[in-house]
Amino acid sequence: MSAELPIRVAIVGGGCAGLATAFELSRPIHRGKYAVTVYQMGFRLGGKGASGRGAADRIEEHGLHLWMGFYENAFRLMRECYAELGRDPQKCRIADWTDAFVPDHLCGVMDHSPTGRWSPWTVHLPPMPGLPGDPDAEPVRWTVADYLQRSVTLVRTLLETIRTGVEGRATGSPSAPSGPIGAAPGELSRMMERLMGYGGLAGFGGLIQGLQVLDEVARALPRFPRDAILRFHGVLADAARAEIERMTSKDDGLRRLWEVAELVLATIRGIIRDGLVADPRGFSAIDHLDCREWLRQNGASERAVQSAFLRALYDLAFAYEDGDVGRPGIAAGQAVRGAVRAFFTYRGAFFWKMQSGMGDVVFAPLYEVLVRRGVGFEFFHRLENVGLGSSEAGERPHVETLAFEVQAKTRQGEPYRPLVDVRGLPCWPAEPDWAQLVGGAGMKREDRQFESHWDTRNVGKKTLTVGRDFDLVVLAVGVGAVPFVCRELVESDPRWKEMVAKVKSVPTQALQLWLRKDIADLGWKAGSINISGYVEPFDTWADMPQLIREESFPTPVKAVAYFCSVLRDGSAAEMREPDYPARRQAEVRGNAIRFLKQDLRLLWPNIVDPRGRFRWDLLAGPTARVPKNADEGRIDSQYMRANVEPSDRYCLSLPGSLAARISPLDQTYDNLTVAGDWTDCGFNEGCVEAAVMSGRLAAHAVSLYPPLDQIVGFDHP
Amino acid sequence: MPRQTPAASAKKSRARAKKPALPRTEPVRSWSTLFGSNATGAHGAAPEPSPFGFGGVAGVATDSVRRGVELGYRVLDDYMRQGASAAGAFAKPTPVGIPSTADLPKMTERMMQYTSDFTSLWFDAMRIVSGHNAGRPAADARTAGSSSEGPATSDHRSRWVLEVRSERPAEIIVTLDEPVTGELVVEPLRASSGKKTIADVAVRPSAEPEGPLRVRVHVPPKLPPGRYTGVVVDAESRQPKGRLTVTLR
Ligand SMILES: Cc1cc2nc3c(=O)[nH]c(=O)nc-3n(C[C@H](O)[C@H](O)[C@H](O)COP(=O)(O)OP(=O)(O)OC[C@H]3O[C@@H](n4cnc5c(N)ncnc54)[C@H](O)[C@@H]3O)c2cc1C
Repeated sequence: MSAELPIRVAIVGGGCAGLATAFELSRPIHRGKYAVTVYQMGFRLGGKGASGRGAADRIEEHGLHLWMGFYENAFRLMRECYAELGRDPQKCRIADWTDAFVPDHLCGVMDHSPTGRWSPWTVHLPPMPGLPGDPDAEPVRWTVADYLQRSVTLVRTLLETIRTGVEGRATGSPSAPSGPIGAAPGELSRMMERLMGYGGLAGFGGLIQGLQVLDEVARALPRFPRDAILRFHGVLADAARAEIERMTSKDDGLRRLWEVAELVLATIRGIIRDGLVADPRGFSAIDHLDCREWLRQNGASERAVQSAFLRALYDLAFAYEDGDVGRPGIAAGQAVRGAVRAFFTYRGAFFWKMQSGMGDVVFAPLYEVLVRRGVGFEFFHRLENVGLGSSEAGERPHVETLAFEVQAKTRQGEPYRPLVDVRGLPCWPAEPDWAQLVGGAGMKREDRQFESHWDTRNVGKKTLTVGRDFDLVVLAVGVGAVPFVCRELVESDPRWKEMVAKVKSVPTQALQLWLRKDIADLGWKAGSINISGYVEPFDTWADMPQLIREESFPTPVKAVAYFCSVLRDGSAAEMREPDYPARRQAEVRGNAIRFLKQDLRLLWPNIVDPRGRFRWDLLAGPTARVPKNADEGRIDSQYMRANVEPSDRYCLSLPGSLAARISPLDQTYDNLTVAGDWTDCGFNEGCVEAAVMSGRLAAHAVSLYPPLDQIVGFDHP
Repeated sequence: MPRQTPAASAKKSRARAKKPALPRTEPVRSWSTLFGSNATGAHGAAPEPSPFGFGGVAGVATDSVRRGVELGYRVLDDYMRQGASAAGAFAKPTPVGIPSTADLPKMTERMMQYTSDFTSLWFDAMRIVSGHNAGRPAADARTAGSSSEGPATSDHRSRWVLEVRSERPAEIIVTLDEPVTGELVVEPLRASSGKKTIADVAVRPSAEPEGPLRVRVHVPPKLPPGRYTGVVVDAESRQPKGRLTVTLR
């Protein structure tokens, strides 16, 4: 501990972002310079990623969470956390980060063919060198030029694959040369001219040669004038379209490859046309446009922009304004950044699956390590208002007070102990431990909803004052909560006003099913999968068999399925009604029943009986009690969730909105910083990685540590 | 055992703590603009003259060049402030991981070196993206003196007219990567540490092909010693054409 009084940092909100900040500020390197306290409403950490153990130890999530192989900051955090935790593998089944996260190489999209047929398109994404979160000797410097080149190579590979597919059936045309041409620029430009001449790009051989030339050109972009490259690209894309569309239209597999190739070709064109290689804004230069719109502008066909691949990209980001699937929208720059990071920079596996609830795998270990380091946790503290102080002349404005509602107090004033033991694994429960709370039994009877915006019952108020109770504030609540807890800020600061108006969020819905048959028996033959791009109300499904052993169902469970999707938004008036959450919950229940009865059979043909009726008896409940009627009432033994709480709403990356985000590095207030997946954190798309990056940036804003070049991906085009 | 709020342990009131000033507040999104690593081709090959007769990424927006310039300066500032904050850290008890006081002069020197290396790299990158040949040797005109006027030699020009007004001895380096004839603008020269600038600078090519290049530098009084660098930009196209560095001793 340093001789000086510690700087007291109040972190409000214990999601990925807030906890990442706490982790950084409590590092031993600071030698106790920061006294950190996390203020959290309700009884658990994790926010949008929180989970709880319910009946039969079943895991109840906010929604499906997958980690991606490019989450360098998030994995680094968890790897350090597990290392510091030092769990004994003999005593705890999730002792190491590799027990917590397991590579998952198979993913897919649901494809809707031009003939109106739905079919899964599954892809095995190969393992890549290294592991996410591996410490690198040097900071990585990604460039658009590099991505451009890799995109050209990808198109070539796709066309080669298509050719193999086509020529496997047709008579083969001579194979094009492969590998670098190694031509000098003058030679390359002559080759471009020649290929653009009559017939030069005809046939796969010509196309692939054309792509080789484009590949070389992309490697040395500044030597070629943009117009010439664009002209060449245009001729090449047209030739490819003429050549390939005809051949692939009847073969779903090849058509999908061609759709992806078309999207990548459009991306290449856009990068060149918009001068992104040299633009200091990187991909952000096109954030005012919707991704589909940008691709269209760069020559992608309507079929390609409506393809399963692109639909999945929107689905995974819940990218529908107001939750209306008729209004898709994602900023083009961030969408491209997300895609290139996801596909070109993943390490180990494309997806990583958690081996227990996200709360148990992520937030319980973080909580334990932070407590050990001396971080304080104040549960049952709901922030009501961030109060601004009056500033002296020449001083920057500051936060003077933090006003909380205290939702519950512990007996004898002891710190609340939030975790439960599930066969040796510290886990979060699905409801608070009422026994620790003063008047807990009564609160339970009254069904207090500590995580609900609509339940404002409390046992008192507490106002923290700057200088007396805290020095610096890290505001790490979800974006949807900001208008409610930062009224003064929003009213007085036009940037905050613009931010809450433009950085919009949406509710989401989640469904978890426990089944008595495994997915192969249910008729899914493609292996354990994460698949997106399917119909609403649940466009995304992940098979989660690894969780079966974590739970204690009285009857054998053979499959666990998580579904997730965006949920239509309510009106402001609807949202003011006290029964709004209950109504939305009932709506999700209705959606789930409809989905099971109508849509699920496409994924699992054997989930219906020979007369086409959904087999409710295949659902396994957490209690031995089985309802007599084998009808849709059984849905209540499963888990459904309408994520309508303001802070739980998913943050969108709408076109034209990203410039309104506020950075954790913003200097406007001299004792306030922000953290969360809604901030301008370098990767502006709602995900665990963005939240962790923002948390690390907030720590940098407070302590200058970690250095910016260690926040992987912050400096990224 | 979880700890509760630290308020009780540090109740006594004291001066309000504030967040530190930050070296930079935005990401560097384009390393190619700054370092030219990829602008020179993925294989690191030096660019060659364009086969189409004109160089570079045609159509690199003028404002993106300007933003590149600004960004470059921001990163430069970042490096410099890192130096300053590292220096500041030595005044305090040494936390784990920060080098000992003995390293301070070495580190400061490295920081300064960093800055000047970085300026050159970044400038080269700017030339590449804006279509100039980084492979060709640059035309350097160097002179030193407290106040001088006279000719200097270079690859491109035989004569220089230097007008330098300075209280301190000043070394002036003008680097132009090709012969220039149009009107030039020099961005204010920025200090490699601190916020001081030299704004009264000009580089004026002669209308005649063999005419002298006129360089004027007026160093404001009491300006601290150090290295001050600015970009020379073509007034019409806003393309960077070179740089001007003044080192005050
Ligand atoms: C359904 C769903 C599925 C998702 N799937 C994925 C996925 O597969 N992969 C992925 O990477 N990302 C996914 N995400 C996104 C990811 O969950 C978020 O980006 C991330 O968890 C955000 O973390 P955060 O810390 O920014 O915010 P949050 O998690 O929202 O944390 C905010 C914290 O503040 C607390 N809080 C709010 N208001 C107050 C108040 N007034 N007083 C005190 N505390 C308060 C909250 O309780 C919470 O603890 C998904 C999100 C959703 C909703």
